[in-house]
Amino acid sequence: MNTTEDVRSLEARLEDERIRAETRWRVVGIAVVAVLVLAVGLVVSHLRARQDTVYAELSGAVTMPAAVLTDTDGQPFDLRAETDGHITMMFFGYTSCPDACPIQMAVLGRAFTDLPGSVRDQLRVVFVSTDPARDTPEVIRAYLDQFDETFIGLTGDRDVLRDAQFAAGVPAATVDTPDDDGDYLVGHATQVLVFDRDGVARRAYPLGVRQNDWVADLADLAGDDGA
Amino acid sequence: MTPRLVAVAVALAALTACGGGSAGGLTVRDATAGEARAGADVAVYFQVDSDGGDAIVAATSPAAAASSLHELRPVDGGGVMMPSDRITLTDGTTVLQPMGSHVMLSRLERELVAGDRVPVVLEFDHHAPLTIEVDVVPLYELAELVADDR
Repeated sequence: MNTTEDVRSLEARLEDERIRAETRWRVVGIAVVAVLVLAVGLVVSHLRARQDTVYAELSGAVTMPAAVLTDTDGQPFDLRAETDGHITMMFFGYTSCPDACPIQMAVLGRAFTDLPGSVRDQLRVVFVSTDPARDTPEVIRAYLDQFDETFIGLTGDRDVLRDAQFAAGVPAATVDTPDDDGDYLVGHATQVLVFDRDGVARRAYPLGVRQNDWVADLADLAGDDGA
Repeated sequence: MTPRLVAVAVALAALTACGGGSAGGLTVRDATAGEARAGADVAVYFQVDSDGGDAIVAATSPAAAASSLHELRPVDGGGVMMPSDRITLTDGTTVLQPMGSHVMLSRLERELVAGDRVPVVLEFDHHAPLTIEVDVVPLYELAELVADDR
């Protein structure tokens, strides 16, 4: 009878539809799994890449030196009080330095232009002169302004600066003999120390770290997930 | 190619060589300096391919009031850059990079900005003097010279 025929064909159609739906869900399922696998892969490779750190972990934690230096306005600058609660990049150098100092400062300056203000606000860059004879507050200010006007420049008595370098665990700067023009070179540490908000440095970034690595690490340290 | 065409091709290749210069048995590559203000000092870095080794004994540039050679000398706890009367070039490739030997241009006559090219004449123990063209780059790019080595 027609009715039986109709019922059978209806059942067949329903069965077809069920198979099609099942196939569809299987395809969707495979796609979802593929996306998940891809996502997990990306996260793992990202984590792997981040494990390949550009910094050296300090063998012993270094506490922010308890020193009062002079800032580029000629005002006293209490290192511990002024950096408390901030992530502080500290570098010992001098403005006539031919290579390490301008490169490290320029890379940090470049990284700062790429970081959002919310991250930058949590950071302090502190340049401590190892050449107080030539590096007056005015000279240091003009020098740092090439890289970033928010960078803090400090100088002080030779003895205070030497003690600060010892306290920061970096080899104290040496000064060579001036040449005929009165120029001389200063040997000094070339790494940037990074102090966490608790005033303890756990990382040192050597010369050669690129701005992209700084941007990623500073955003991480500041708790910014890039959102 | 006729010898004449070859000569023209070689001359063109030498002229278009980026950031360097070349003369029989000696090639200077990737000559780079960071941006610097007028009156400042700037270090020049490059690589030298030398057939048999040589030494740089002097450098001059119209861009600077004075030029000198600097060599890294080890001191307690690190190294210190010292003026030197020569930079030794080994047989093969010698790399002059930040925190190593370099040519120092002192008291620049004018500001150097990225994209500029600065001529520097290098004098050698054995080879004839060579004029190289130094590419001026943003300072932060000099980190790459060290990073590539890490």
